Amino acid sequence: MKSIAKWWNDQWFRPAPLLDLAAFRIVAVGAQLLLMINWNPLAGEFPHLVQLRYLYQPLFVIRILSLPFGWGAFPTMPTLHAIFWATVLFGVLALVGLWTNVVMALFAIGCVYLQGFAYSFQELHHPEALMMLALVTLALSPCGRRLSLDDLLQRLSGVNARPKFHPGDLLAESPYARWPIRMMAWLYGLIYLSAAYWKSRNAGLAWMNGYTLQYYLLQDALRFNIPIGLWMASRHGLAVLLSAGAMLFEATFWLVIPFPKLLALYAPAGFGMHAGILLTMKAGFWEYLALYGAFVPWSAIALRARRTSERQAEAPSLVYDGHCYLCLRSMTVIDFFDWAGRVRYHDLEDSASMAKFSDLGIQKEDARREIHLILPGGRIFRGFFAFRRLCWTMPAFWPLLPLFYAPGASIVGPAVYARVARARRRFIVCDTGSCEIHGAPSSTAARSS
Amino acid sequence: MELGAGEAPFRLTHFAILPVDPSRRHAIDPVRRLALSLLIAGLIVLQASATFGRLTRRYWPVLTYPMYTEPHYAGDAVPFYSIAGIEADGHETEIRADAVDLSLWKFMTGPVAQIKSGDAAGLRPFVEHAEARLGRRFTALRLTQIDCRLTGSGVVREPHIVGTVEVAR
Repeated sequence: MKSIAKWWNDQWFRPAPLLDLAAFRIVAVGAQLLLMINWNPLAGEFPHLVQLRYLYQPLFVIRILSLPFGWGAFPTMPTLHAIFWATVLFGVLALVGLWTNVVMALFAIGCVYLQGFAYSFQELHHPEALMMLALVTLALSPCGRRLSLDDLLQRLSGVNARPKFHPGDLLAESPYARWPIRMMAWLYGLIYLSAAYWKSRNAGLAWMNGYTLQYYLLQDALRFNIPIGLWMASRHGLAVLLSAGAMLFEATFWLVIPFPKLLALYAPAGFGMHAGILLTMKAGFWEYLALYGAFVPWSAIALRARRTSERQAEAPSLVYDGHCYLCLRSMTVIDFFDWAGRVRYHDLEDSASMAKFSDLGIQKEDARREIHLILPGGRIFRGFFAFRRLCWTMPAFWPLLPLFYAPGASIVGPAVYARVARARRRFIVCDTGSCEIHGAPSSTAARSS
Repeated sequence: MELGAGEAPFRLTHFAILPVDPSRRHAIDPVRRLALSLLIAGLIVLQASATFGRLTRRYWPVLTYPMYTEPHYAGDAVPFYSIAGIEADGHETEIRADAVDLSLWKFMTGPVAQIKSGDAAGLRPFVEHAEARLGRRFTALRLTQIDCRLTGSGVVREPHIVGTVEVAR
């Protein structure tokens, strides 16, 4: 019994990187939001369905979710409008990771309700089911612990509690970070196995005779006028190969559960299969394409990027005032977006750090006045220009480049920086002695301001 | 995790991402683990039941997946319908479903079915809409069924006229 429990824990609760789960959250929620907006049921499907009330046979899950309003209650159009827009709002919050677990749960419930309602009129399709299960599992996981505003806010509040900057632990692990991703492998495995089982049961080996696939390709290619589908449907040999490959893939995908390394083979193959079906048959299993994002080794990619940055003898260095709350917060925000670990941070109060920069003519007093960015070649950028140059270094900040290079930015930017830098006196911890240099009010006054 | 402290703190295979630092302990709340274990086991049992058809579709989003399962053989044909608008001078224009803003379903249950049954009066709204969209004036509509037959050497098209209906004005 103990060995079974040990095996179970090892399968589902072995610590895994939170980053993988967070990236999966962003991919899944982002895809679902785009699909919802593209679906736009308020304009097309829902007004039509409301007219078809006589066909309404609510799915079990819809009966459960409608329970507060009566067993299988029929919603009004204003109710559907409210649910749709609330769900979109929750989705946006889940995407950026603000109150992540609560909004993920509400987003999942909203999506299940809206899609389930549309499928409660005796017509039901398959693509969305896996996404609904994925959203529910994500809602019950620590998917907002990284790459989220929750994480950033927690780190900033940490700076407030203990005024010291520590680079974040992007690759931190949790025993609860593994199970949702592993569950995706199980669900994909069982779903593909179901498809293979019914093909074998209804058609046997005839499903791989080539004519079966030709028939379905031709049917959809004619229906939607797809030239590449028509071309493929007329090639029997190719159809034999593709149908055998599809059957083999579906019948054996579950092998990734005991042999996870096979995902390196099966995940690209599955993505390719769905992309091919989309191109040749216009069968849009978009959700399946997006949910393959669960199997991308995001943490390994981040780790590799960090290792590459570390191997470089020289890297951009930021010199900041470690006794200034605003500077500590700024470093925390920069580090939050520095996923590849490209920047090295130096507290000007750390003598060892400052010693190597004194050769470049950087004095402590200068560094206190404004932030300094030192590039590997020895070039120095200060204040506003340091932030602007930093944007080139970190891809997450690239969207800000047009703002930093807007006409007049070189004049307005430094002025704004100087104004903010002057205001930062309020954040200085006077106990350390920094107040004298900046001429800030006393400790009591600073804290009460 | 201290980067660079160890040479390989992670293996690159996704499911085998392992910490090499055994001193790093992660506390697990036994109640939370039990609740999650029940959820995991329940979901797997439900989806496994659906996999082999033990659950009906009422239990969406837990579904069975019996799509595209009927076998087909050499000689089977996919029927395809084409409507041609015939003008007074004999000129013919193909009226495709997408050219007149109809889904294939509406195309089949509307004009195709109406030509099959010879329902000239029922066709009038469709004709007027098609004329407006295509800038033509038709005197008759002809329905052709094209059987696309599967063979080892490709697809053979076998068209045959189903019927022609004079346009009622």
